[in-house]
Amino acid sequence: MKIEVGENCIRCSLCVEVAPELFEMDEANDVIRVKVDEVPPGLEEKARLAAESCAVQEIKLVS
Amino acid sequence: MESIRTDVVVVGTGGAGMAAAITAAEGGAKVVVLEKRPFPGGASNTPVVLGVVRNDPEYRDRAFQVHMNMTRWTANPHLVRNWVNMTGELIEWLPRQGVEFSAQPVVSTPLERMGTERGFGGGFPNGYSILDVYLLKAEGQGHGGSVMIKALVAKELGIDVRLGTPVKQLLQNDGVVHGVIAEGKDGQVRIESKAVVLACGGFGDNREMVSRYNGFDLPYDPDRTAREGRLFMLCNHLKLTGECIQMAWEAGADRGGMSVSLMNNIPDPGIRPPGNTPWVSLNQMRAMQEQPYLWVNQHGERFIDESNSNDHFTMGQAIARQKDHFGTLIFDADTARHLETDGPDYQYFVWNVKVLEDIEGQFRKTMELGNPHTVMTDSLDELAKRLDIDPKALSRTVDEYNRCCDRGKDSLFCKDPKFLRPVRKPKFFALRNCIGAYGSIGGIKTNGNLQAVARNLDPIPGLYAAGDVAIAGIYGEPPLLGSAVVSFALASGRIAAQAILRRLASEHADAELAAAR
Repeated sequence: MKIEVGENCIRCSLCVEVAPELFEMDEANDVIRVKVDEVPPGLEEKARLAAESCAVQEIKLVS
Repeated sequence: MESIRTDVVVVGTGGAGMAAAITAAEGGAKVVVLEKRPFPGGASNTPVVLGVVRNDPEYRDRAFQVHMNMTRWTANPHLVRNWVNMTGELIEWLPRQGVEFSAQPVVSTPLERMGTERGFGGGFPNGYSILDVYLLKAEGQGHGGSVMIKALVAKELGIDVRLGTPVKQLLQNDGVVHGVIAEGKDGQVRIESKAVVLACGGFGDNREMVSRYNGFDLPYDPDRTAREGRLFMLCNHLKLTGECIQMAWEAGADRGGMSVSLMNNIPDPGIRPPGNTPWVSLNQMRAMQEQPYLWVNQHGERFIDESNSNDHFTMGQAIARQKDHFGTLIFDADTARHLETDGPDYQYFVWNVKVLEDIEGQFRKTMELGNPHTVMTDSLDELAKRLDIDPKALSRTVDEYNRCCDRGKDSLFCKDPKFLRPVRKPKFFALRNCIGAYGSIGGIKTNGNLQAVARNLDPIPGLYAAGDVAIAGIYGEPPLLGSAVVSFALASGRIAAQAILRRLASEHADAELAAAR
């Protein structure tokens, strides 16, 4: 499973709070980064939770 | 350098900027919108609700009177009148833009009760009940503001929206503002225009400006932990660094009443997660913080009728006036049980809880994290010592307060007797609040049509301001409140754009007349 963050991301960092293993806020470059190429085993549920929590529904999970 | 011509340049893609852009484009103007961040919305991504005055002449008149009298007419009456008149129309305008909100207001006040009751939520003082409040449609755990912005930006009106394009300079000749120079992804762009609308957001992320203009001479700590009672910013203020405000000043605009919308808050650690989501809480401390029991300052004295305890703006203002800018909520085991069985006396919709759970356990956790502002002890003496309050002073206050509770009458500050709960039975709990702010207020003074004005109140031709930078004009001095921001953002953007359209139409008519001659 891969994670894509869309261009309307508002950098609110909710995903970072829900799944710090998968997302990080890069303040200097004003961007939310996905920390992994593939979601590691055991973190799929957290990835789904982050996508559901997203304020602008800009997190896509691609299997 | 790329060079383009347009009718209107709008700076900022929050509610104010997008409302101005859409209104101008709907009126036939060519519009370029510049946003310095790589995504739209700025602080408008954070709000939850939209508060409007009902679209009815009698409601508008009453709301205007209440608002102006509460600001003791220090607000700009023309701006307030235009705002009040415009807000009700938003309920019809927004759905046409694809913005969704609750079918019915979650709070509404009948005409005869306007101006007599507590307003809604944090930031509305006693007597400021003039608004119908709608809940903006939200997604996930986010706030509705971001969904609103997404809809407004998606509107197909031929508006040239340029993200990641900060303004570097206002173009001005003979006092007339006639465009901007911006820094785009592919280099600088010079945009000539007939009007510039600065809807650029406040200055909450500019340490020096917040320190200088917070209205209370408060030190500003951009680190949210604010351990020593320092001011800190709560809402989505990242990158709101105020440079466009300073450009407006250089172009001759006056500052107006700049301040911050104060609120009370328990500092971290252990209260809020890191990040930029003020609506997310790690526990129920924020729900406890709303409650109207005994509140004392660092002198161990009461400082307010605590029935104001869920009015964040009033509490923030009151705490800012206490020693070390601290105010502490104190309750005992009986009140803890009351919160755990009957639920909170004040319910705040963001931290909506039926009953509080395991208050002792929650305190133990934040204390283990070393948070000095959450304290639980077996004796009042120990509680006072841990809070740096003189135990004798606290004991005197508690004795007097308990006598008021026994009599069912608050002989000091006349608090509603239903909130009088004695402090007698261990354990004792304390939540020490310091001051934070929802965001900054103002920066650019305008007239009733949102045209920027100089110190002598003459308008600066071609320059307009809308949203947070102009909101001091309706709040008055000192600011009446710290809310209603979405309604002002949208309404002020529309008012500015309508004024610009009128000017463009009359210039066009003048040109036609000249050509005919």
